[in-house]
Amino acid sequence: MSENLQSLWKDQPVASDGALPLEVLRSRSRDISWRTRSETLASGGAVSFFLVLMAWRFESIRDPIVLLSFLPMVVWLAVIGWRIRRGSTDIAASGVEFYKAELERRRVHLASFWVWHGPLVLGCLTLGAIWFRKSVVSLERLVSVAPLLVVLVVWTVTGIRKRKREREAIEMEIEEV
Amino acid sequence: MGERRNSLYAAAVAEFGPSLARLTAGYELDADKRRDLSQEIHLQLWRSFEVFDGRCSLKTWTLRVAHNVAASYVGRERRTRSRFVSLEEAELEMCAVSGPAVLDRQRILSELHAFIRELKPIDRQIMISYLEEMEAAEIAEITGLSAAHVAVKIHRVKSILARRFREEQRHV
Repeated sequence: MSENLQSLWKDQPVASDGALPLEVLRSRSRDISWRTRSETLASGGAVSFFLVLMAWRFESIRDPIVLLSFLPMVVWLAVIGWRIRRGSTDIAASGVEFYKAELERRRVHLASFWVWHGPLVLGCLTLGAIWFRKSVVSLERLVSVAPLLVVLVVWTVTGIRKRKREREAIEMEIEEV
Repeated sequence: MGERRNSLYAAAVAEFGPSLARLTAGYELDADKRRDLSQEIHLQLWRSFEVFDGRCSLKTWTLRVAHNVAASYVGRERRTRSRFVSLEEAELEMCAVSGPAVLDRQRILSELHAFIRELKPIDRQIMISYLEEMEAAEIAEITGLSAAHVAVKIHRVKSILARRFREEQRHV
């Protein structure tokens, strides 16, 4: 019975063997390398631009809260850069090894919420602290930024819960594998 | 080094090209997406031969790379699609389901493809390899499971296929 299905499977019409000409393979391979390099350069450029801009602004602001948050933010961005540069999985590993490694990577990614979103959260906290200090003399200002703070808190909590659920599902699958 | 990579790729395509095409069909139904996946598999296969170290046969290497690329693809797809099931879950579901008789080969093949795409990546590798008439030892080498474990899984595959396609088989 299943032998019939095997022959049905092997006799199924397929478009072609799918082979790509060597020129196309070389060109696509170059494209991938170039895309990776350009994305790294663009990310580095964006971070540099951000740092230069912030340093320039800090010079004029001279706010101790902002200055205190500057160093951890730089360190954090460096950690993110280092994590992005880490190697990929062995493509010719056995199916189980490869799949497990992929699941592990996804699990670690989901578990490291504070690594990926740390600079953003720290930036928001810094902003909130500055606003709060300025609002001590003005309750109206505090009320005006309250909706933004609520949205940020809801977004953060929702994100953490969603990641937690997905991480738990992946952990179960790793156990199964 | 480049020449060696090219010749290994040419040999792999000559020998296993049709298997790769069927494997791709087992992972993606949509023709455009299937073409993209096929190209990705071929590209990664060609690139992988740069570091081909003879740790396994050309066939095992080729099919491992193809399945791994497809598994990554499935991983990306799963975030937008419903969950996958294991062979064990599929076997349980079979007990409760008695589908309508499907009369022609094309529909049986379509249903087989649909069933394969519901499976979790490793079970999918086993199912496709079984349909490719590979031995348990070969499947074990590709998947990294023990031969005994693969044999149990194959037994399960046969049982599922027999139940699911019993009626249809009479008409093939």
